[in-house]
Amino acid sequence: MKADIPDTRSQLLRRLGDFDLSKWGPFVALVILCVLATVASPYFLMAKNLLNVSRQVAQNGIVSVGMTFVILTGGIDLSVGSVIALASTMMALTQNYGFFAWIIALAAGALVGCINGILITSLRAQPFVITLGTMVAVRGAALTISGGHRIEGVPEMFRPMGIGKIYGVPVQALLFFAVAAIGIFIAHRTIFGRAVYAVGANEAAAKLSGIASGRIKILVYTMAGLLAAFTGTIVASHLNVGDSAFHGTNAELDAIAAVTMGGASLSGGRGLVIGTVAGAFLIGIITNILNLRNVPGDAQLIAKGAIIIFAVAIQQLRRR
Amino acid sequence: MATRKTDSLACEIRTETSPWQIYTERYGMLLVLIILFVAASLMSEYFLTPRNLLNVSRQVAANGIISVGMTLCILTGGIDLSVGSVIGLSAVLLARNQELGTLAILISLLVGAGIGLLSGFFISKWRMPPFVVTLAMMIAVRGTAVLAAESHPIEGVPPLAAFLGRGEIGPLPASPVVLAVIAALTWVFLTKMRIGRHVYAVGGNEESTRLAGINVSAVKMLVYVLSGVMAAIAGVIIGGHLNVGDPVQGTGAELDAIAAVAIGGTSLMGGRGGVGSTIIGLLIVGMVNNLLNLLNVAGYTQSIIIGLMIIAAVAIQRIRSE
Repeated sequence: MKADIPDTRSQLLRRLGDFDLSKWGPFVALVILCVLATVASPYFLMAKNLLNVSRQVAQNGIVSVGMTFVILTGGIDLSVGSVIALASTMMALTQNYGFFAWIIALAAGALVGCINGILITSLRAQPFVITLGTMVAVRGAALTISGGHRIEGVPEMFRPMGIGKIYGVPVQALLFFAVAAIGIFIAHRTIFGRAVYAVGANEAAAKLSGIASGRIKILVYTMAGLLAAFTGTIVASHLNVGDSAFHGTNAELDAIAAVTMGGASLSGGRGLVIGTVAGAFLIGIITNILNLRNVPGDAQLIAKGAIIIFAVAIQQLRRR
Repeated sequence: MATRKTDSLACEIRTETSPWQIYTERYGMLLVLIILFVAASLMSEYFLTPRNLLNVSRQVAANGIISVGMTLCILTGGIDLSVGSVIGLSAVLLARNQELGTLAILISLLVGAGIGLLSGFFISKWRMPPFVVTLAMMIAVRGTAVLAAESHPIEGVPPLAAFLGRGEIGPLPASPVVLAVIAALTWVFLTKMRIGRHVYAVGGNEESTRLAGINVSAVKMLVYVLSGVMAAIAGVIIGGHLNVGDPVQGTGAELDAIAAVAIGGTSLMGGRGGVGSTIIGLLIVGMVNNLLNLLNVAGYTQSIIIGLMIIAAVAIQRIRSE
């Protein structure tokens, strides 16, 4: 009995030594940031402000969950911003079909993602170039089907998805948490999720151990497209308009920033969905503090850039 | 004995690549360019007029200059997403310092070099991924440009910038001449100079380059500095052309440049490609845009076609290498 005590103590010490900052770094940063934010502005910790932050984070967060899976395979998806525009346009354009408007918008996004995946695997091409191509083409397609105009209105039943609240919590935030929870489950508790990590860590080895890496990649890009389209329908429901020119511009960059700040490696195989959630909140809270402190937009951009470099640099130092 | 054996092995491997393969690898996209050129001449009577061709050359000049810088970064296996923002900052500084004359241009170029040096430092010394570093720089530099302009476009540029942007050298517009000079110098740098060969070595296999005693950090810093300077030159040309320094100038320019590099056939993995390929890629995009304008195709449809072209170019290169 007595011998157990030093044993557990040494175990505890060893565990502290093993404390993997690249895994927990984003959360440590999040806690520090929350403390700083509370000091910087008395409004920060108010429930109303926190709920506001969670709503602002939601749209980028949902896209980022899809992007996490793509980046875990060692790929990247630049087309998500254009898919948001396509889905918001489709949703507004087909508003008379009610529920099916939503399904059509989601299907369009999933189709773009699927095409990305098929092109990347069948051509064995670099995801960056292929999705750059679809990014340009899909934005053009969205502009073409809308004639370049904003289209007012979405099916009435979907308005709550954008502006609704349940017990004061924005529905957008709840949807984000649901997507994140499903994402975490898929990444850690399904064969598909483990295969995603395997493909990203070492594709050749994954193939030799019987994983159909092509199919995994196609699924991952389809998922990213689907989640981007889901975000597009939320954006459209929020603003009650489908805008092919402005919805989702730079969304791909915000999502990539959230994923990298969440500790995922752009070369694939390493990263966590929960880290991405933390990364999305990091960016959201930074923006929120800067807004609360009335920092002008241009200085906000400078701060945002500096913080991204800082956050990623810390993770890099730890890995060495 | 052993060396002779490897020699004969090397010969065998070399003979396996057919001359046809080498030929298409080198001239495949050039062939596409020529076919497009002939097709464009047949499809529009205005295409093959000197005025239109000079117009095309003026339209592609600024994008061409940043594409050359982007080629250098991509050859090392990196990428530079900050070039669009550097264009904006360079144009704003140019207009802000217009009373300094030619010195204003020098300041813009120095700032561009400084931004490249900073990116290069994070990438080579701290070993951070180029994509993330230059993404952060892209955001921060755009903010700096808006700050420096106090949110408003500033009118007026120094005379030399105006000349570079909209002046003419003999019958030729000045900006494509600048592009030609920069492309030629970069070609010499990449093919004739030792450090240029090191750029390819770093992109081909960074670890063995390091083990061969080459200063990899210095090579990487250099390519980002050059890319920053070239983006600043493009900013001077764009600012000079429009006679205004606007902080939103150059938005999305990084993607146009990457598209030109990728269509030309330079591998985004690094180590393969060159300036010639990029210029071919640039001309293909510029010509298709011009032709679609001449044929009155709507801007939206144009971007669908350009997007599909990027994918098609990748597909062609894949088929070629098989």
